[in-house]
Amino acid sequence: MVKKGLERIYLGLILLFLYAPIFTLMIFSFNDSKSRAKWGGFTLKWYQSMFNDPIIVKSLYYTLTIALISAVIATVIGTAAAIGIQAMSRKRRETIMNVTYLPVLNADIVTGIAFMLFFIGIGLKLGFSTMLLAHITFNIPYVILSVLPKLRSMNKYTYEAALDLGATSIMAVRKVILPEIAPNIITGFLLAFTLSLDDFVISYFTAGNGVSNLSITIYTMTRRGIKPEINAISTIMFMAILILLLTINKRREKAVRKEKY
Amino acid sequence: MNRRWLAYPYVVWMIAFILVPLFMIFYYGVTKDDGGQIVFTAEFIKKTFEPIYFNAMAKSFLYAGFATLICLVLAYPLALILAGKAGKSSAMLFIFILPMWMNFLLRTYAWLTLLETNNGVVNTLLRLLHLPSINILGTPNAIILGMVYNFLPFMVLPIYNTLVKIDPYILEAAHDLGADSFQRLIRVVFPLSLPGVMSGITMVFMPAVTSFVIPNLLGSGKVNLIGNLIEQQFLMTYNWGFGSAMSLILMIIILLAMGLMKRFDKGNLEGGAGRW
Amino acid sequence: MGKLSAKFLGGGEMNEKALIRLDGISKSFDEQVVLDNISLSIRKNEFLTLLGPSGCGKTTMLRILGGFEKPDVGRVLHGDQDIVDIPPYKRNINTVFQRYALFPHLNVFENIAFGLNIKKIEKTKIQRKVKKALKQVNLNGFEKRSVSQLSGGQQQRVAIARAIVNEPEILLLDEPLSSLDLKLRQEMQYELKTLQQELGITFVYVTHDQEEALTMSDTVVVMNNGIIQQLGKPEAVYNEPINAFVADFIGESNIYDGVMKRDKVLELFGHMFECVDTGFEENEIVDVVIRPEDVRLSRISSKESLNETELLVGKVTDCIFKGVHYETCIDTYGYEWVVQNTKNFTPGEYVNIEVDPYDIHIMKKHRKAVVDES
Repeated sequence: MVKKGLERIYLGLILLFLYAPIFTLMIFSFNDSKSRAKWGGFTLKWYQSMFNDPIIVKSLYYTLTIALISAVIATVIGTAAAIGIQAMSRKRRETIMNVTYLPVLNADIVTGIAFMLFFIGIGLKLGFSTMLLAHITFNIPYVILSVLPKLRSMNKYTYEAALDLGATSIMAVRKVILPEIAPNIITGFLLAFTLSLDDFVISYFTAGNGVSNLSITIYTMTRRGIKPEINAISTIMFMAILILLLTINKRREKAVRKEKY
Repeated sequence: MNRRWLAYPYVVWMIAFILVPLFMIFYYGVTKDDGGQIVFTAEFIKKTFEPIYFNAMAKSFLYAGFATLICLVLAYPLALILAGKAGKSSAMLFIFILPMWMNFLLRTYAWLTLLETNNGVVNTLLRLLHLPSINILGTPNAIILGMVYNFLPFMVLPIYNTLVKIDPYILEAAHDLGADSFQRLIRVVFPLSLPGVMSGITMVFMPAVTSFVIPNLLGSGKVNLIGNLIEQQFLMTYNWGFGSAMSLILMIIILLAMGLMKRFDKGNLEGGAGRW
Repeated sequence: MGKLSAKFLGGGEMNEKALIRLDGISKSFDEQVVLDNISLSIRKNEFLTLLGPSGCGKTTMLRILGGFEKPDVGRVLHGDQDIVDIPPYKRNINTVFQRYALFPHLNVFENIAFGLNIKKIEKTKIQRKVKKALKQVNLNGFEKRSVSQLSGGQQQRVAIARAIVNEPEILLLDEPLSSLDLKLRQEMQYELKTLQQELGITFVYVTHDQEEALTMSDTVVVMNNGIIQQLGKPEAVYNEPINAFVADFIGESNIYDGVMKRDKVLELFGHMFECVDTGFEENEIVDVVIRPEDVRLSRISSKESLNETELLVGKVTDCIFKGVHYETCIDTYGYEWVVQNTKNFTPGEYVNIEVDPYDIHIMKKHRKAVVDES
């Protein structure tokens, strides 16, 4: 009994630690005074000024666009890659997977710098396209990591059975493999999308001066000190992530339930 | 047509966008333009070891080390408690992992609001209680706090995952053979959770050591860690050679650490015959 | 063997004092009753088997003994003390788990020594005891091996050694042989029985394999639906099943509805059979159990003799060679008989069916066994 009580207290403290900053921001996003110490009344004006700020709106646009496009492209390339990798010999598979893990394991700053040097080195101007290319690149490994395990646990012989029954390679992939890994593809897509939305460091180094995503804008704003609009942005982003994650989670639970049959 | 060909577009992409860029860091780090000729040089690498820069590196490792330790101490009991509840609801774990997905800039920024000396929420509360104010923004403590806050979930998750995979019958067997809960924790649970602990340490230490946002925001620009230095070389002083050399050294240290981790992972983890 | 009351006789001497007594144990999971008012005495130096189909409650009973489950109602008495609230690590009982549950991070020696290390026994003593345990399970020299490299049978032995090295009063075994192949299982059955006799401690063994139970046990406890159906020595349970469930579960049986015209006279399929059971009302409907190996078949020489015989007649539908015997299936009035003997019959043949009175087992309908062996 004492143990349960102690457990609850500990969980509570950690929860407090984790959420206090976030909730503080959310509360103050409605504060009618700029002060962080006093409550000046309820207001939505920070949200208004946030939506009216062209820089913020533009960076939101870039953030969503890049997240969407890079997630789509990464999903296509990544899924194809996973299917292909699964069919490879052990050695080749391991080599490719090791390289695939590099952007995942490497510090963001190193990856970001590497991209920057590369793009400038081949003469590309830093901007939308370079940021997009970078996002696609760091998204693909996560798609592969979502799809590959399912491919591995799938029955190996359904593909060959399809071939045996007369299907061409492409048809077999389309009709047999893809439907079975579809849930994982979608999870991979959502994962890539979320990572892209959230990215800062890599975007920072590959966006150059012209383009800015939400994270970069926020960074620039915070360097200039505290601004209440940031609280409004935080609240909205938090709600958005919450909804996204709940969706991903629900899908996972559905998939697990399906497999129980 | 073979299924394998589906992977080739990715392989090309991989070489172009993963391998080549990494190579470029190497290139810039060890070569320089000597009057029109590209020659190998150790100049940049040596510079890294000059006192100012070496200190920054040492500081990074020190703070990141502290942060990792604190994360471990906080995360392990948390993972234990959550793993104990594993069957009953995944919602519990979800709540603790959710902050990890929030934009980490915003999460770091949030502490500015809390920790400000004059107007911060924390100090306002303390003053109300007639307690002294804390002035930690701009100090290493703030940075370590920021690291712990940002990376705690990354320590919890791998430990949790390893703990729930332990065969429950092994836990019963330990009791059966005379071990009480504490003895079981020390002799069975902890050893079996080590791979998760190693994962967690890696997933915290690495981003902590290379972080530049946290020192910038919470260190008020007064503290320079290696991440800041690298950022400065590329975006302010345009000394790419030096920046690349530092990145290179960082990368090598990280890869070495990974290699060590992998060796720990080779440890046998199958729950006895539970694998049949 | 006649009197009905004989079926209540448990195995073993009533004089020996019980080591552990389950008293009125009931347990439900999620509103499903798993154990229903169970009372059972377990004696010293006894090989007792809990036998029954999946879900009958045998594993739950074992886990209550081990301390891993608490009953909703009832006591577990060790001497005079109710040990229900005593945790597993304080009981002088050890368990051999179904999937062995060996510690993967420890080698064979360390696994076996685990319990001894907890008790802080000194090193040389531990060495000796572990060596002895390894010898008892025929794993000499395996000390340094890693458990993941062992075969199923070897892991099994390590699990047993790990438990017995602590010299418990009772060893609990939860279907330990179920994941082994047939030959190995049979070997281990023999080894376990010998081990129990050598060690002189009580084994409580759980299985759904009735052959295994009959082979190894001093006492068999047949369970179904959370209730003890019958308890006794293997021969008693096999030869004198107390109800249709036990008769069907243990051994092969032919079970039919019959009518006791009066004591010692059974009417089955219109024919009269002499039997040895008494205590029935006139024309009472009963369950009749006849073992396949107890049926005698004789060929009917010609079609004419068919109507002349007073014996029960059946038509052979199948005759399968099983190595040790032929299994012949016979049809009488739509009911099937399964007979084991060494004669080869042709499907389509007509045969006479005879059974010794001694081999006809009569059971009252809807009998529930109530066994208390204080």
